[in-house]
Amino acid sequence: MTKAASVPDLATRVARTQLTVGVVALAVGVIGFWVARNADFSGGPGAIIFEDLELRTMSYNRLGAVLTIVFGAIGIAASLVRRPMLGLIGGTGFALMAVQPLLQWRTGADNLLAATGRNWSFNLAMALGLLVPAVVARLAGMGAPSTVAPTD
Amino acid sequence: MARPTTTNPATGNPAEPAISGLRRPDANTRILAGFRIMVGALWLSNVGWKEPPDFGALRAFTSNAVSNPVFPPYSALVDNIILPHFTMFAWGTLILEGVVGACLLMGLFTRLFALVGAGMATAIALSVLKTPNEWPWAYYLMIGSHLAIFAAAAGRTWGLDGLLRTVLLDRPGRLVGLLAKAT
Repeated sequence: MTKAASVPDLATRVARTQLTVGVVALAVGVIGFWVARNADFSGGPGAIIFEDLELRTMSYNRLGAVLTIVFGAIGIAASLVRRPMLGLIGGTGFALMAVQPLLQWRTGADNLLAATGRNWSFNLAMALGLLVPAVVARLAGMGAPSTVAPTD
Repeated sequence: MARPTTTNPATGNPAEPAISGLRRPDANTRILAGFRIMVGALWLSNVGWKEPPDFGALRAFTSNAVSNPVFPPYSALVDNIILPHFTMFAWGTLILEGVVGACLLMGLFTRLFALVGAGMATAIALSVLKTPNEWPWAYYLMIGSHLAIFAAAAGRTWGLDGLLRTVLLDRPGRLVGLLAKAT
C-alpha cells in the first residue's frame, strides 16, 4: 500500500486534534472572560477559573481571556478549513502567551495578562496542541490545501 | 521466530505493526489517556505556587529535606548545592514542572515526560516524607502513576504522540528513533 493512501486519514486526525485544542481553548477563554468580567481589562490581579471547585487553575483578566478566545478560534478555523498551517498562528500566539509571565517575572515588568505559573503550563500545552499537528501535516506533505483529501 | 508483520488499520502502512502506536482506542486506552490528562493537570495546578522573585513557598518546601531528613545523602545535596543556588533551582523547577504538565496534558513525548515526572515525584518524596502532617502515600502514588503512564504509553490515545508517530515511524535515523521511543 502506498504512503499517499494514508494521508486522508492523517489529515482528518490532524484536523480533529486542532479542533479539540481550539474548542478547549475557546471554552477556557470564555469561562476566563466570565470570571474576570469585574477585573481590570489588563494587568492584575486576575480571576482564577474553577476556584469555587477548589481546583486551582489559570488566572485571567479580560485581555488574557480575549487572546485565549482568539487563538482558540484560529485553531478551530484551521481545522474547519483544513489548513493545518493556520494552526501555526494560533500556536505561536499561545507560545507567546506562555512565556509572557516568565519574561514579566524576569524583568519585573507589569503582569499584562494577570498570568501565573498555571497559565505558563496551560498556554504551553495549547501551543503544542496547535503547532505539533501543523508540523506533522508539513512532514507528511499536507502543507498546501490542494494536497489535502476532502473530508468523508 | 520472526515477528509477523501486520498492516496498521489506521495508516494502511504495512511496515508498522498495529500495536506500535496507531491502534484504534478502546475503553482501556481511553481510561489511561484520561488518567494521563489528570496527572498533567496535577502538575499544571501545582506550578501556580512556585512564583518568582523569591519563590518563598518552594524554598520552605525544599528546606524540609534538611530539617526533616529522609535520606541523608539527598539532604546533604539539598543543603550544600540546591539551597545555596536556590534561585536557579527554583526557576528550573518552575519551567520543568510547566513543561511536564503541558506535555502530559497533550500527550507529547509521554513516556519521556512520565519518567521525568516520576523522578520529580521521587525528589519531592525525598524532601517531605518525614515532614509532619504530610501523607507519604500521596508521593508513592505520584511515582506509581507516572510509571503506569510510562508503561502504557498513554499519549498514543487522545494525545499528540499518536499523530507524531505517524511521521516518525516512517523515517530513518537515530534521533528519529529516540524521539519515537519517547512517545
